[in-house]
Amino acid sequence: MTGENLLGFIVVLFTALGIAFFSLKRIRAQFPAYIRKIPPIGRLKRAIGLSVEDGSRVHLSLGSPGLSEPAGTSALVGLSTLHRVGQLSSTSDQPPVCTSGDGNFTLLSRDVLRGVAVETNTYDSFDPDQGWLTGITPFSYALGAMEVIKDPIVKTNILIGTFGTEAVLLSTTAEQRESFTLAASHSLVGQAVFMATSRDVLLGEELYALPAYLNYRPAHLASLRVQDVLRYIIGAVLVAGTLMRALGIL
Amino acid sequence: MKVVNVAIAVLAGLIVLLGYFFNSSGLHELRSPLLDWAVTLSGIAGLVAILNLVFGVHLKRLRENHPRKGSSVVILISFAVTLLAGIFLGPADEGFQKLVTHVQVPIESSLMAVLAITLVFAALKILQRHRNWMGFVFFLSVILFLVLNSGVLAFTSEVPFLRDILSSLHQIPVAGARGILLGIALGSLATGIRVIIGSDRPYNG
Amino acid sequence: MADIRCLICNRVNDSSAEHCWYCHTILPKPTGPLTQKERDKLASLKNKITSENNNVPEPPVEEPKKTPPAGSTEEEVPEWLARIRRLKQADELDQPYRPSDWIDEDQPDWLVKLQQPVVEETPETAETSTPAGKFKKPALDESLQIHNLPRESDDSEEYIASLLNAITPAASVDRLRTPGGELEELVENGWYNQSAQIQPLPVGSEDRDDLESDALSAGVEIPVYIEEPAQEPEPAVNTEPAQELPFPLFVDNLPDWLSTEETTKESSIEGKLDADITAGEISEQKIEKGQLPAWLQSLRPSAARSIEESASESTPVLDDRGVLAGIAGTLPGANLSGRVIKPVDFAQELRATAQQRKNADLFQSLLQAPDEPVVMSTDQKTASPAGRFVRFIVTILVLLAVILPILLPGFSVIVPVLFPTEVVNTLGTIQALSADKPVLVAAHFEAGLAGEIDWTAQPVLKQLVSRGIPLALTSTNVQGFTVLQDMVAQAIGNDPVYSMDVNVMNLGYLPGGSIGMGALVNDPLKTLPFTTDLQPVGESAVFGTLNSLSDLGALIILTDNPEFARIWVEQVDGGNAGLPILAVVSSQAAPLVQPYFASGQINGYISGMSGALFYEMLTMRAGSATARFNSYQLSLLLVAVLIFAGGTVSLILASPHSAKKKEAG
Repeated sequence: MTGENLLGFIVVLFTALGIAFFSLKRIRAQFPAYIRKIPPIGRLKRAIGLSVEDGSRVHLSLGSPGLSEPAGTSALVGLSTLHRVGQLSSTSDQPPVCTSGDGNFTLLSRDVLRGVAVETNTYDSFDPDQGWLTGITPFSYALGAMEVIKDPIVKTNILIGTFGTEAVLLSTTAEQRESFTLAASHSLVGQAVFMATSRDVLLGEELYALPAYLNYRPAHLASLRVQDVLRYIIGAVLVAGTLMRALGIL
Repeated sequence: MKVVNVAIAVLAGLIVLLGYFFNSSGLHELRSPLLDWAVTLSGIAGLVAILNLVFGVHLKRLRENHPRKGSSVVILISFAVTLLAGIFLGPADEGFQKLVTHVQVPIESSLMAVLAITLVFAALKILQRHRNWMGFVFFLSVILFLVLNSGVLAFTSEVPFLRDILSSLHQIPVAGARGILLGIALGSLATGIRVIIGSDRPYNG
Repeated sequence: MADIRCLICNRVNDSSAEHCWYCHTILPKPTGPLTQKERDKLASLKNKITSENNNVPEPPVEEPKKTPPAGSTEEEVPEWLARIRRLKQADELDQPYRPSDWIDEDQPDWLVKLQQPVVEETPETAETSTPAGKFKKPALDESLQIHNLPRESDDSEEYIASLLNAITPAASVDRLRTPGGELEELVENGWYNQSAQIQPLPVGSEDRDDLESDALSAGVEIPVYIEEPAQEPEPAVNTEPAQELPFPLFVDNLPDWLSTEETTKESSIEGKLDADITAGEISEQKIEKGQLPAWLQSLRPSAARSIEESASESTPVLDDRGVLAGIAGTLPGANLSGRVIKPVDFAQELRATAQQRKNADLFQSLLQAPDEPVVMSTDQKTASPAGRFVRFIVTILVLLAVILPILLPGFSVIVPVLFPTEVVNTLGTIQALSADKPVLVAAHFEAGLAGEIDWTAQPVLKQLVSRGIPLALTSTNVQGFTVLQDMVAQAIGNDPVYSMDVNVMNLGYLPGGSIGMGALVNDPLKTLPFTTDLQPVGESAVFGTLNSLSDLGALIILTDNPEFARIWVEQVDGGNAGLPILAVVSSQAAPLVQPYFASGQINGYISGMSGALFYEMLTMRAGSATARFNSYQLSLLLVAVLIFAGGTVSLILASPHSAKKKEAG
């Protein structure tokens, strides 16, 4: 086992134990987490509530991730968000719809929607086609997702996953429809595009904080706290390394 | 049944993860087939999703007499032609490759051009969407790096002071990207760990 | 609170209901369960009475005059009977009554009247002292009792009964004598005759013995008091005296019909008692037997039936109205004709009001599925005319910026003079490559960015071709290897030496993303054993010796996604192949690839048109980048100007309407 492998194992173990520790009810009660306000997420909650009230549909798009790629974790967060949105909008006449550009996530999104339907006793109105693949390539996926965004019944769009430059088409179409759009991408290109074309954008790790802000599960809030701890550690190591390098020690 | 799903997922994740850290032949023997299965299943999932797209969406539109069934007809015909060509001609066939290079590339390149125009038009209203310091800094940085990358400031290479400034300016996006990527990496790590320990179960519908 | 059982139809109603849901009778108002204070007082009373009973000397037990009939299996005196005896004895000894405070406070007036000293001498009967759980109380009493007290144990009821008996022994006798009331249970069980005259049983009396023996012989299990359904108290035909209720009622407001009957019965009872009962004597009086229903009479043992028949002195009471009309032995019910609310007589046909019809039509229209999907085209929002005009202007300007330099050959461009380090390193690395070792070219780019990648990669591919270095092509996305092959073919062009068939091997699509890359790093031949022509890689003269990545000369990554560049770097570096890695990336990926170059993980990279221009200048081979750099530069500058102008206009002409709308949204 090399040093790099050992360090990686320690980090993974620390993260897993940290998530389990901060998920404990006692710890949550004794040391509650204080999270900063993210206005786009607050507006998202409101938009979901409004869509339930006026009977419109929420559209969630996962982008074109690959399950075996590191960028696939952003789409996993998208699935958690889909589950939560499905729960929040269970009383709506229109269940949420999910589009993606990857076969794996298409099947997973269907599974999540089916689970939500069972949980909320709305299985009778469950339609498997609520989760579908709109295209294999990013551009073809974007064109298919545009069609869903243009649907008059869709008033809220959540673009969370892996997006590239094709995200421009999605966000401008949503803006043209004057529907609420929350955008978050794993890639920097996608974030830059969303920043230019969309009002409500999540940058960087805010994407991974979305389920925690939607009060999905305690483990999500716990993982935010663990991330903060790791961030402090990394920052301290970087600063220390820079100083040591500047002083000639390293 | 849900417990079995979770157990399988957790076990498979742990085997692959530990196989990455520990160079054990036993773990390697377990890990390799799992990864192979994952790749195969990904392909099958993609095929299933494509078939659903063709039959579940576009063919359904034909049956239901959807107003936009015309485009569905084009898609179905294109799909059938491409599929048959790929099966009978093979991916190495020059004719089949021309199908990709002479159809898909121009279409997506055109979309890219449209995208560029759209992005420029959308960038005109950056300050309308983000009326804060973040939006203002973003606006300035867009303009600055467009000018820098265009190469019109090549004359500054002869001025040491300006050369140093421009050189350091080139490092700013790198530094900023690194910070964002660190946060994203931590988030990815936590998300993956949550799936491995069974806390997040997107497969357990 | 406990549910209320209707006195008339015996159906269970909610505790908060005022009228029965079935027959709409006014329901007796229940009282709440006993508070802890009340329970404690009850318990203390119980203890007191128990101690008093223990102090009372046992009366002499008389020998029974009649032997139990054959077949009787019950030889022990029932507890209730023993208790009755004890209470009788206590009465005989003139035990003073010590009422409890809370009983005094809550006693209704009619009960107070009954608690007069004159009625103290009335001897007890078996029925009065019998525990509540052992025999049936009057219907009214029972129904009220259910709601008054949570009868947790029979002991509480016994002590309450004993308490009341201590208060009004005569009343306690008489209140049980309601025809068809609680004594019906006694009648049903065979130790009570059919006589309407209710007389107290003397201690040791034969009649009492008869009743006991009948009960014993019948072996009837006396049902639980609470479980008994309320029976309608039927007024007796032959002027039965009104019976006083044996238990203190905790009901404040009795129904009128009940209080009226009680009043009349009460007065008649009092008169009868005065006439019949002398103080200090336990007279042998026959207990008037209730009237069993005909169906129950047939079930009784013949012996009991004969005794009853012989002892019967009154005709059975028949009720001529109500639900129990024609059934003997039932209490006459009150005239409820004025109280019973008949259900509304619905007509056979459905009658709907206009509003109901309207609602039904609306509902039907909602449920009716539309035949065709309706496209709500009117709801589609389109861009405003000003927006469309601006978009049009922007499009024209950008197109002009791209096309004009192409159409005008003399259009000059500002060429950078300093070559980036990464480009120089790339050139140096390629120049240092051995011509014997093949180079793996791994692509991952979308068809939309194929143009930029093509212009960026052409100088590199041309140099590789010019050096005669064999190329192995692969792609980690579906269409990448097709476009890559086309690019290589363009780079080869009409080269007489370099051949596509000999020097280039297309390994096709590498599935699995990072998993596939890792597998390729570990074992290339096993991961990609065939070419796109389905030719085995191992049989090739050039690539047959490819056992691991270290057998390659270099790895060149062509991608627009920096993520894949990073994954390749991690996989190759992790495999310790020691392989030079070069990258040809889109300009959008340059900032993310630069750190890998700075750390030495990548030997060099070329990004975008500018990188390609530098490379062509270094190799002195003019290509597409050199020819089209002026368009690139002009369009970049134009876009920068447009964005600056648009932002400035946005700042100056701030739109309050859009800001307010967005704040509200």
